[in-house]
Amino acid sequence: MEGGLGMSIALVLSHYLEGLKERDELDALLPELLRAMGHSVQSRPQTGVAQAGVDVVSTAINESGETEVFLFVIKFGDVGREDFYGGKQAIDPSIREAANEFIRNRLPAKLQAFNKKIVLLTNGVLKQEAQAGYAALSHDIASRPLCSLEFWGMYQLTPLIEAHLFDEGLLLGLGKSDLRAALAGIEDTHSAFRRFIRFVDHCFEVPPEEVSLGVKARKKKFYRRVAAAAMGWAVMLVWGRTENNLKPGVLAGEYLLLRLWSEGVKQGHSKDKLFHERMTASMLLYVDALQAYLARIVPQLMHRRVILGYRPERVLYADLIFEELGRCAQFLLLLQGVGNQDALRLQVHELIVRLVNEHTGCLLPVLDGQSIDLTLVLLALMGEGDVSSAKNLVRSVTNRLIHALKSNQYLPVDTDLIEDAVVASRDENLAPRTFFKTTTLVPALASVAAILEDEEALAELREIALPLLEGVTLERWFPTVELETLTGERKSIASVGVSRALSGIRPTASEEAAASLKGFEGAAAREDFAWHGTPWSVMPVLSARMHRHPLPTWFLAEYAPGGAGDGADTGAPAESE
Amino acid sequence: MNKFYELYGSISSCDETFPARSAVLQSFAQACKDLRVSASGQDESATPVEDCLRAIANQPNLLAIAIAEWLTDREHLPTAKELVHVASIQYLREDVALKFDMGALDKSRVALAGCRLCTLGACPAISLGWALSLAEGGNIGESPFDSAIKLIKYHIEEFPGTTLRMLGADSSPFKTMLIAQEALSVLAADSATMEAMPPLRELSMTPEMRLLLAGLKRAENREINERADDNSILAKLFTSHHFKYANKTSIEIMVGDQPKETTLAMQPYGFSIELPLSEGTDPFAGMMRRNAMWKGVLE
Repeated sequence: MEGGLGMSIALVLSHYLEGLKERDELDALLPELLRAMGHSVQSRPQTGVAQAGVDVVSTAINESGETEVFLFVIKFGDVGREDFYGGKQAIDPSIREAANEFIRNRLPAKLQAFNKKIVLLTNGVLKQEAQAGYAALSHDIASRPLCSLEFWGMYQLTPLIEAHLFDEGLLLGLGKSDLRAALAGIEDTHSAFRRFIRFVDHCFEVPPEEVSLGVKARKKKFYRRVAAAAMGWAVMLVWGRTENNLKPGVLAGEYLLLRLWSEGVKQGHSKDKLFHERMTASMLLYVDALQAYLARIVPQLMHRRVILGYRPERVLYADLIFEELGRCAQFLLLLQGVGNQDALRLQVHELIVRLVNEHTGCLLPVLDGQSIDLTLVLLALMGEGDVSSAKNLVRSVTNRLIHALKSNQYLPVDTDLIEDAVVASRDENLAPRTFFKTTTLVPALASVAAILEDEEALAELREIALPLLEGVTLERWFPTVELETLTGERKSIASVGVSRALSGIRPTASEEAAASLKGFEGAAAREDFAWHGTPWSVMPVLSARMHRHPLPTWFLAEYAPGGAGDGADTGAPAESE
Repeated sequence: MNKFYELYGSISSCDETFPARSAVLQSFAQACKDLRVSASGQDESATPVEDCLRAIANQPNLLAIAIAEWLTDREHLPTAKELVHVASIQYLREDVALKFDMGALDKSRVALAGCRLCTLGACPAISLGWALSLAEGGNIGESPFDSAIKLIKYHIEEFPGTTLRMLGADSSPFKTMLIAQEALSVLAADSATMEAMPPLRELSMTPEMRLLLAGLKRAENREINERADDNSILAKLFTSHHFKYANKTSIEIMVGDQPKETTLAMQPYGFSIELPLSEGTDPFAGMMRRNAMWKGVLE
């Protein structure tokens, strides 16, 4: 695996391995890994049965064609000095028992003649303080004929697992079959994604007996679930690369970040340092995965003729363009929050501008819901300080909308259904505004124009567009705090927000901006959300794209030129094209 | 007798000189104009007028004069539009771009007519052939030449498949033309680049989209066939049979008291035309561009 993605996956894997229980999980994982490595597993761990220190025996043929015997002594967590000679782990005695008692009395005769490697296996590391003890033990073991001691800790296991066991076998719980189904059908993006969601649902199922556990134990189990879900995603990313379809992995990552946040808030861990670390690990993995995804699709995405070849119909073409533009904008907005990403931000910024210029059809949404992606593009530009591009885009969209309103052609379809958009564009007998009873585009444009202090654009909306919008609801949506925990719930977006129907557009930008932000009963304030004031205040971006809801106006306000909102780095103030 | 019958005779047999052609076309255009303003006679003249238009369309050099003069003259615009429609149907299945003799024509009018052909959606055989014919004539002035180049560029952008096919055809009358060769190499390079790109699952349609698209194509096909049947005289005279399961068929007909069988083997037949690229990517921009072209404004 290439550097960035490989390192991110190794981090997720290490979190997963850390979270494994000694019995049932680490023990169960080892035989799976050995078989995947081509070993022949001779015996498996049995709880409660004295094994003379040895938990698993396997044989393997080495590069020279010779059979080697592996005797695994499984321990748990980091190995320190106190673990060596006594305590729960009692490593030194276990290994000596393996070398003496087991090899002499319990190892089958036919295996006696081969090289015997005693492997101290743990899902942690060998601490500095235990090195001397290990070296002495290793020397002792090596003095016996055909015997040696090896250490397989986190840093040894991780590459072995990456190389040999990167499939659903790595996941030991209930969700395994869902992950297997997702991997098996990975060439069908949406079906693989739906199965991944089921896998994550299983990961986060809380068994009834857990309720009676203490706070600390419940917390530990929570982090294990987080690690398992992230692990499943990492496996999916790797499989996507082998099967030449990176999209399910990207969709899965977008979903997982939202789901992790949702679960963290629900369980009350969202302020924990460990939760922040796990979210960061997943976020970094997502950034790497998205880079790989864009590297793959952008050479073709840059050509409208090529994209039309994939989607040979206007509505289907627009669906793809808005999805990928929205994803690029989301990427840039996330990078703006991550820090130390200047070079990558510049690349993505340039990419967005090039895409908008190539696919000019994006200058007016085909479906009203595509206003979400358009708004994200505007915010991403504003976040880079590219106010002039943002203003140009607002004016271009407004201009096209006005033409559409005057001619009653190409109006954004309010049901957000592709089938309706197709009917609207082809059925000449259809009444002109059958699918244009609601617009979220106009309120969004008004808010952004107001935030950009573009009086001219706002005047066009107010004086030219608005009179043509009689009978159309101008909907501005405000979420409740339940938006944060929506992912994973069986609820619709309609139950986590309230909507206002605008009566008009205010006479000045500052008045419109103030009106945009004014809350009302039932709507949550910016500060009510758990992500407020944290690096995760950018989550509304992911939420808007995944759950298809408009960006709240308090979020838009954070990108006002010259102002820095919480958690949103608005970048250099200088304008650039 | 309806004067259009006489005009039809004149058009079909006029001398192949510019003055003779111009005179005949002038008479026809005036007659059409008179018909438009008169209170009666439109119905019975519809068919002979169309016959005349077809006769004009049948002769490319006569067509060139008619388009150049009528499409740039407000008084004769309705006739021009009808002529373009009739000619487009006539040359819809052409494999190559038509070559027009523009020697005696006013080049700035020809350039404007070329733009307006694109606005009207004339078939590429005519509109591309027009642009290439204009560019081919030497000493036409900087502005008309510039327009010709831009019109060719318009075809490369909006009809890449058709333009590539027409310019690459062995029988293309513009085979040796430098500009046509350059355009062909640009299109061929683009085509090669596109073919070299691996198909990406990430960008492909969902199964639901494929079903939707297939349904749309079937509906479109049905509509075309129904309209063709409605307009077809043959369809009114003959009984038609539709078969589902086989291409080799036999039809039973009664001849007196005896049934007789006639066997028929059916062949698949299809014809597709390339819509402007902007119809799929950005129809609004396509429409604005073509509206600007009506005024002679080219990007």
